Amino acid sequence: MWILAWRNLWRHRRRTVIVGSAIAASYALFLVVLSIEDHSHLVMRDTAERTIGGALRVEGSGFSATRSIEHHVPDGEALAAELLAHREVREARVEVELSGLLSSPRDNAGAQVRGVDVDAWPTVLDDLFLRVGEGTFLDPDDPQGIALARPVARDLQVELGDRVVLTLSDPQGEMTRALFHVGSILEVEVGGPEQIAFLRIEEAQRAAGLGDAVTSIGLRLYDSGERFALQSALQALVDERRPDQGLAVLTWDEVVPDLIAIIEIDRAFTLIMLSLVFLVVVFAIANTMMMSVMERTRELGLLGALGLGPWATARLVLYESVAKSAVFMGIGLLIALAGHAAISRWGIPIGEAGFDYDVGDVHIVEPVLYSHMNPESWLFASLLIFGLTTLAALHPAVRAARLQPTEAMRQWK
Amino acid sequence: MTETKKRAAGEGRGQDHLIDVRGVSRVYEQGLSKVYALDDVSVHFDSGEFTAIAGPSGSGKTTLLNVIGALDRPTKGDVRVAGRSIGSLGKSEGAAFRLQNVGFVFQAYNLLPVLSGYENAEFTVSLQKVSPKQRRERVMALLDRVGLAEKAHRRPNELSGGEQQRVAVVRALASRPSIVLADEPTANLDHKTGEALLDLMLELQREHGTTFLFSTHDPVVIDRARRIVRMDSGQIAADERQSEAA
Ligand SMILES: Nc1ncnc2c1ncn2[C@@H]1O[C@H](COP(=O)(O)OP(=O)(O)OP(=O)(O)O)[C@@H](O)[C@H]1O
Ligand SMILES: [Mg+2]
Repeated sequence: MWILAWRNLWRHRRRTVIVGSAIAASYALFLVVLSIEDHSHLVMRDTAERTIGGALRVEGSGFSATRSIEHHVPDGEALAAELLAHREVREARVEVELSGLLSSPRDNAGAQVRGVDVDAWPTVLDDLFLRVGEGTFLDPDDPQGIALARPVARDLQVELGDRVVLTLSDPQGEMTRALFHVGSILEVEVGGPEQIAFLRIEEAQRAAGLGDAVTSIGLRLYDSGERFALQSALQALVDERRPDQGLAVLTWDEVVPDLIAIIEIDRAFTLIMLSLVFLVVVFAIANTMMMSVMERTRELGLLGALGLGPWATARLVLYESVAKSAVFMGIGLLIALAGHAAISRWGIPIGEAGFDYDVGDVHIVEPVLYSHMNPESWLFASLLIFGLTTLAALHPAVRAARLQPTEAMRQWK
Repeated sequence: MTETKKRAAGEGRGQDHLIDVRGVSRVYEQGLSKVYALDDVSVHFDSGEFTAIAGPSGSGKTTLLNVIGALDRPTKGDVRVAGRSIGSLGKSEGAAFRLQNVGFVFQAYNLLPVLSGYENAEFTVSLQKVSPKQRRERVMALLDRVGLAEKAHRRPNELSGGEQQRVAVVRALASRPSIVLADEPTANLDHKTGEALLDLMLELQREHGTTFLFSTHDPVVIDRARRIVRMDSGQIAADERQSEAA
């Protein structure tokens, strides 16, 4: 039966090659587009995780949503040390995140002010796509030194050593002020945040009247894919150690839910577009299959007369379709692999600006598109296309099965 | 020397005949008029018979063979083969019945163009799920018997009309059916080739004891048969037996 199907497939070599090329090309397109998108999403996820300070975050529940430091984690250092004892946790980074107004004698600027512990989070600048331009970043010998991103310094028209006042509301909602001076200016790399400033964490705590409380503890895991599994375990741990403090363990996905929504919408949209393209191919397949069944009416009638039952006849037509899909999807796969390799290596530049957008506090920039092979996407695309091509053969197969041998064979007379 | 013995249609009803056609009609509706391709036909054939169905064009020969081979269903009446009623088999059952019990040889386009002579001959046997080794032995022996062993690998378009029909005969016998139905197997062949094919079928019939029924117009071919059923307008006009014409 397979031999018969295989040979039938190559009877109209040119027709088969045309339809096959359409299968191969659209399958390859499917895979490459999904891979580029998967890479994009990877960048988004990675950026989000880096910006948030880890795959998981412990905070006073409600902080992410409200940004109000009324939700905080008392005695953050101690809890961070306890969390770090968990074997899946690689780093625990206490942080005080404030939104306030910075003022110089010349101008004001709104900024996100992050009080960080450089010892616990030495890669903070790299993680946020920042680089020291001038001065020393959060010098321990200069506790009053604030680090400003270059755009913030420009807005305030300040230079190294100039005075800056931070105005913010404390946990009780009272306005307070604190005086700093510019200790360093940070250059913003591609993808880095522009309206940001850094303080040593103890200075931020003091300025905000937080005492030893922090706004969040970022947890970097050995495997961030384990974050969902770990979330409940760590939540239990936190509840046990700190009952009644209303603390929440969140995955980064929950901290920036919009990002996940964007990724999902993006994927759905792409799938719809690609499926529409592929629908045209499916239609072409169905048509040529139907044509080839009609042309072979007499032969299929003969098979029926010889004792090939209707199911077996339908199967024969489906085998042809399966053989066709297998061959041309194989070719499509090779094309897609080559495309994927080329794009992951050289990338596709998409102009000066590239993609540049903010989702919550996460700032995402992609000037060059790369490709990432996600086995799930590849498997999904393969099954979808194989399924649809087979589905396209279903109607012709049923038609073949319905032929009456005597009627079919009468055709030559 | 011909010994003619007329038989009344329907005689022998209820006996153990291999093929028993009982009061079969096959009516085609054509617009308002009805065409009786078979009109209340009763006839039976015993195991090992070699019978010609003769008659003018449109007399119902093909229809009779199709009804016996479960390719067509009678409008009225029933056909029994080896005691089993096949008049109302479904499509799948009909196919299964043909596969196990009937070998077919048609007038033309008998073979699948994409398969070699050997593969064509093997087709029904392979559907019967006979082991590959047995299959090969059986088919090769028959191809050898009809003188086509050398050409077995050729595609049908590389074989002559007579050779193609011989492959079809091999296919019909390879599945070891109890009946071989041949609808004008020689019609597309020249006279000599047709005769040769018929002689071959006759010899194979003797060797295998298979029941052969074939329809034909050709008087020379008719002479080879030991029994001749003559049809006219969907009815059996005569049923003759003659001693072997050697
Ligand atoms: N599908 C059909 N629809 C309508 N009429 C049909 C059909 N098949 C056969 N007939 C009619 O039934 C009658 C018998 O046809 P059949 O094919 O059995 O004759 P035949 O003896 O085999 O003729 P031939 O020698 O030309 O092959 C004819 O009148 C034919 O026109
Ligand atoms: Mg006929």
